[in-house]
This record gives sequence, C-alpha cells and structure tokens, in this order.
Amino acid sequence: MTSKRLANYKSYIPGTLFILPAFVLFAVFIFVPLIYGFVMSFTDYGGFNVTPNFIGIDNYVNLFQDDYFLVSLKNNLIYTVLFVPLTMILALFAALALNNVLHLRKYLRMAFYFPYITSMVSIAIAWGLLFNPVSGPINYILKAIGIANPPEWLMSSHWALFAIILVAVWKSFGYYMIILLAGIQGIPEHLYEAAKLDGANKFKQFLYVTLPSLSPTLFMVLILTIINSFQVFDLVSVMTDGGPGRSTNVLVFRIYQEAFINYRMGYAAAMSTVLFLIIMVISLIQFRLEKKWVTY
Amino acid sequence: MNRKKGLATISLSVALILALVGCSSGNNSGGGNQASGGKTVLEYYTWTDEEDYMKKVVDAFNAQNSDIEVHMNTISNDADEYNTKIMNNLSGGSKMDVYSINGTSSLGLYSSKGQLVELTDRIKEANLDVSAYGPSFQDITSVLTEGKYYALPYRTSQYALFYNKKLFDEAGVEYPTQMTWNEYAELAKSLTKGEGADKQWGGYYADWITAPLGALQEGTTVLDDSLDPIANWLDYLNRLYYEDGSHMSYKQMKAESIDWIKQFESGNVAMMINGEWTINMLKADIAAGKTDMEFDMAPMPLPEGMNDPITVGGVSTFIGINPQSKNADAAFQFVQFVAGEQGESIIAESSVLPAYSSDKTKESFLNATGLQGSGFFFEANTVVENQPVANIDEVNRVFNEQRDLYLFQEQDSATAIQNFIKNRQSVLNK
Repeated sequence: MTSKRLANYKSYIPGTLFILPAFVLFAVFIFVPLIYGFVMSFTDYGGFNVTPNFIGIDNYVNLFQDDYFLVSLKNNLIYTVLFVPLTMILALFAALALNNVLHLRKYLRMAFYFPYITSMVSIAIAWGLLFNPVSGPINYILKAIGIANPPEWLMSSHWALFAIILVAVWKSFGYYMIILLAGIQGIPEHLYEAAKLDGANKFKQFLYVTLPSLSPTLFMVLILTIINSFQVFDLVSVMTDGGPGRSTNVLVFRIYQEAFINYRMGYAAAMSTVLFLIIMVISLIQFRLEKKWVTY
Repeated sequence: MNRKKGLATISLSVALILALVGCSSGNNSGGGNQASGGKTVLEYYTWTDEEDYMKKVVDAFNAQNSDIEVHMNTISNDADEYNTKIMNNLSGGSKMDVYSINGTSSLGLYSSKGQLVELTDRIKEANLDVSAYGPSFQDITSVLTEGKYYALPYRTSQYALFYNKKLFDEAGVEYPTQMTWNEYAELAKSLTKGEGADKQWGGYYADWITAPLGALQEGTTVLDDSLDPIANWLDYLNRLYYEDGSHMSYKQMKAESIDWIKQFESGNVAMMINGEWTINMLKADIAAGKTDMEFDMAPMPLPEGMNDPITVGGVSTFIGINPQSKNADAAFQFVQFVAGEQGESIIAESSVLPAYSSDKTKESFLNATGLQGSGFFFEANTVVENQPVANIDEVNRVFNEQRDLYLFQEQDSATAIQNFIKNRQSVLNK
C-alpha cells in the first residue's frame, strides 16, 4: 500500500500544491498563534516587550476561583442553550417555507439573508434604538397590546442577555437557512413520491423523509451554531459593554477585557485555552453522537 | 497537457508564497534618524483631540530649534485604539520617540512595564521646578511610581459647574456662585419645567462621570474601608435623576446614548457639572457656528459644612519618552518645552487648562476663556479623581457595575456598596 502510494507520488504533487497556500496561511495565522497562546497561558505575560515568567498552572488555578470568569462562563452557557435551538428551529422553518413558496422566494431568501451580511455594529446600534425602554418601538407595541410593564431590555440585568440573544438569532438564522435550504433541495424527489404512494401525509413526509435526509446538514449547522455561540463578542461590546452589572459579560468579552484593558495576557490566554477545550469537547461528543442520529 | 498544469500550479504557489514573504518584509527601514539637513527628527504621537493645540506647540518648538524637528502623528481618540497603537509602536512597530499619555492609570501601566525613560536625573540636572505642577503630581508620583519621574504632565483636569446664561436671565435668577450640593439640587429643581419638546432641565450630570465627586471632596475614595459617603453620593444622584427629576434620568441618557455636550449646547439645560475640557469644546463649537449659546462657569458645589472651594481632578495628561528612542536627549528637550512655561502657555491659549501653574500660564488661560468664573481652577484645592494604584481601572469597572445596577433602579445603594466591596476584594487580591 505504502510503496504503491510512494510510487504514485507524482500524482500527489499538484493536489498538494493546491492545498499548500491555504495550509501555509492556516499554519501561520491560526496554528502558530494557537500554540503560542497555549504556551503563554502558563506565563504571567503582561503585554509589551517585557519578558514573561513561567508560572506553571497558576493561571488555571486562579481561573476557577475568579467569580468574574465564572459569571461570564455561566452567561455564555445560557446564551448557547437559547441561541442554538432558536436559531436552528427558525432556520429550519424558514428553509421549509422557502422550499414550498413559489412566489416571492427570491425576495424572501434575500430578506432573511440580509441581516447576516449587514455590519454587526450598525445592527447593534439599530436594535439598541428599537429596545429603548422609554421611547423605543418595541415597548410601544407591547404597551399597545396591553402589556403594562414591558421589560426594560438592555437596561435590565434580567432581560439584557435575552435581548442580545434575540438580535443574534435574527442576524444569523438566514445564513443557516441557506445551508439547510440547499440540503432540502438536494433530497431526491423520488423519496417523496414513494412516501406519497405509501400514503404518507405532509407531516409524515417531513418526519420520515425530510428530517432523516437532512440530518447531516442539521448536524453541521448544530456544530456551527454552537461554535458560533461561544464566540459572541461584537453584539455585547456595542450594545451593553457587558452590563448592566455583569449580566451580559460573556467569555470572549471577558478575555478581551483581561487581555487588552487589564493587560493580563497570560491570564487571558488561559481563558482562551479553556474556551478552546469547551468547544473541542462539545464537538467531540457530537461527533460521537453523530453516528447515532445522522442517517448517512 | 498534464505537465503544463503542474507547471502552472507550481508557479502559482511560488507567486503566492512570494507575495506572503513580501508582506512581512519592508517597514524595517528605521534607523535613519537624521533628516537630510542633519536635523534630528523626533516622531511624536498623540490623539486627535489634541491636534489643534499640540500642533501650535510643535510648530513653536520647531521654530526655536534649528537642529531638531518634531514630527507629530495623531491617532484616534478612542482610548483602546490609542493604547493599542502605542503598545504596537513600543513593541517595535513604527518609530516613536515621544508620546502622550492619557490618564494616570495609563502612566502607571507604561511606567510599570518599563516603557518610559526614567526622567528623575534629567529633571534634577535641568533644574526643573516640579512643584509648579501642583500637589496632585507629587501624590501621583510618590504612590504610583515610587517617587520616580517617568513623564511630565501638561494638562490638568478639574470639575466645575457650567451654566447657560440665557436660561438664568429668562428665569430672572442670579448666576450661580459657590453652592452646596443641596442648594444645587434645589436650584436645578426650580429651573426644571415643561414637557416633551419644550422640556427644560435644571441640570445635566453625564452618565460617564463615574467618580463619586461629592464623596471625593469629603476625602473618601473607592479604595476606603468605610464607603458611607459614596453610598450617600449614590443616593444624591438618585435624587437628581429620579426623585427630583431635575436632571435627565440615567436610564434615558443610557438608552438614547445622549451626547452630553450637544445636550448642553441645545440650550435646554441650565447647569452642567463637567470637566474643564468643556470650555475648550464649547468654544470650538461656538467658533464653528454649531451653537450660539452663552455660558460661564462657577465653582463645583461643595458638600454640606465645607467652605473652602475644593474640586476633583488633578494632572491628567503626560508626555514621556520611549526607551527605544535613539534621540533621548532631543526628546527630553521637547518634553521640557511642552510641559514648561512656554509650551503650557500656548496650550492655555486654546482654553485648555495647563498643568504648569504660573502667572503667565494662568493669564493665558484666563484671556483665552474670557470667562469670569474660570479663575476658580487656580483657586480651588484639587483631590485626585483616580487613585494612583495598579488595578484602578478594574476597581473602577466593578464600582461602575454596581453603580449602574443602582441607577437602573435594580438594587438599593446599600446593596450596591456591599457588592462592590466584595468584588473589589477579588480585584485587589489578583
């Protein structure tokens, strides 16, 4: 086998060369910083060209006694638990609807996708105005339909995180919808025809044809949304700056504060490593479970 | 055919790699500090707000020194962006000899990381009179940098009371003078009237003034064990924002991201507590035709039972030398000029409060502002706004978190202080 491969090495050269530029970029801009950050997390590096000291696992020990870090971790988990299902359900429904709608399909597809390509900062500012508890349209409508004390959204430590999740879902579901729509359109028509012949109604067709055929795509979207949810930063930074109190402080935002405001780079690197491990463990578990529920 | 493809692939990859390599080289052409005429060229960095008057200082310096030429670079005002650029320069980015430092906590950061040339000996040799910068510079130097000098200050910050003359004339009320905080609140209440578009506010207290001014005047800081004066101060703010409703509420300012100076310029605010920079900004906007308001200033209100004028602030903006600079001597000449009487007078001519206090700088400042009340800045005692210790930014952050929750009316002031003390503990233990 090996000798055959080696004998065939010439046929690998073009492929390797095609991969090379992307691989070099990956290595230089992602892999090397990743290793560098991991090494840094065992030091007290504080920015500038000051030589860092090796301090072992002190950063990691401190991390789990640091209530600020733990709060940001908790907030991030709440964010993930709400953001992932909401985005997936909304994206799936939108994709199904678009698949069945004949008119306006192009228009709706664009309308749903539009938030995704809009600048995060302008979105954050626009939603900040909409959420204004005093004069914003959202509470105006809520009051008009009879809710006497609507939430104060970004001004309230109980609602601010939820408001950010809503905006994040609204912004990103269009992207996952496009992926799911492509998946749905790739399902062979003859499967539906066979199901119809067997007397399956629309709901059963969805349950026994669409969902299983779509499971690889759904799996990919699940992985992507979870990773995405642990990387939330820009909305928090522009809309609430982590507040009120600490109610919207999430992991990446806390990492940013420790690294670039407090200049505790080593400590921030330790946080990043923990974040990396969380994402990796979740992804590994999912790839294990994939075999159980993904059809092919 | 196949070979051709392979060749094309190889040349494409080589081209890409070359492009990558090309990016990383260059930019290393430093070292040439001598301009063509044999002049020493100094690269000086500051932020855009300073451009207006620092340009004049730089021009005056260049005119006086035939052998040195200062080249000024300005970076965005945004504090994070400025610090990032400076940090980048210090770690070997663009050539930088001299740079401005915004705030005492930045001074602490740069000096503790060894990013400033120690100036103590040079100051001694040049026989500089550091007492001209007032006691706040001594306090900062003794606590923050253990008595060593790493930079010289050229701007002082002080809070005061600014007022819109027209609204006082209309109401037939005398212009304010030294008041207590209580009197201030009452006066603001009496000047508040109208609803909706006609709303007139008695006062404006910007959401970002996080320092507990009244408590600081009484001598209590966020680092103290007993924080009762700070709790009282929070209750006082609650009175202005919500109970009396004489100031735009904290929630409204936050929700609508109100621009404090535009709000004051719009002419529906009678009084405003803010820093000395207000003068320079208002005058610039009046000159640019953005507003036609007439304003003056009065001393900052005092806590009950205090008589001598006292305000919050202290030296706030510094200039120092990059240890990597090959022209430290020339750079120190420039630093001396900026923070010395001549440079400071030029700065004062733009209605910016100089750190260097002398008859000449005072006269320049008073002439420039044309404000009756601006002599206050030279008469009042000043207590330091930000305590000169490491971690102060993080202490301030955890204080703000609790202050926010209190002013969003989610908790009472006692809880806010309790939580703050708990969180402060974990910051200071780090």
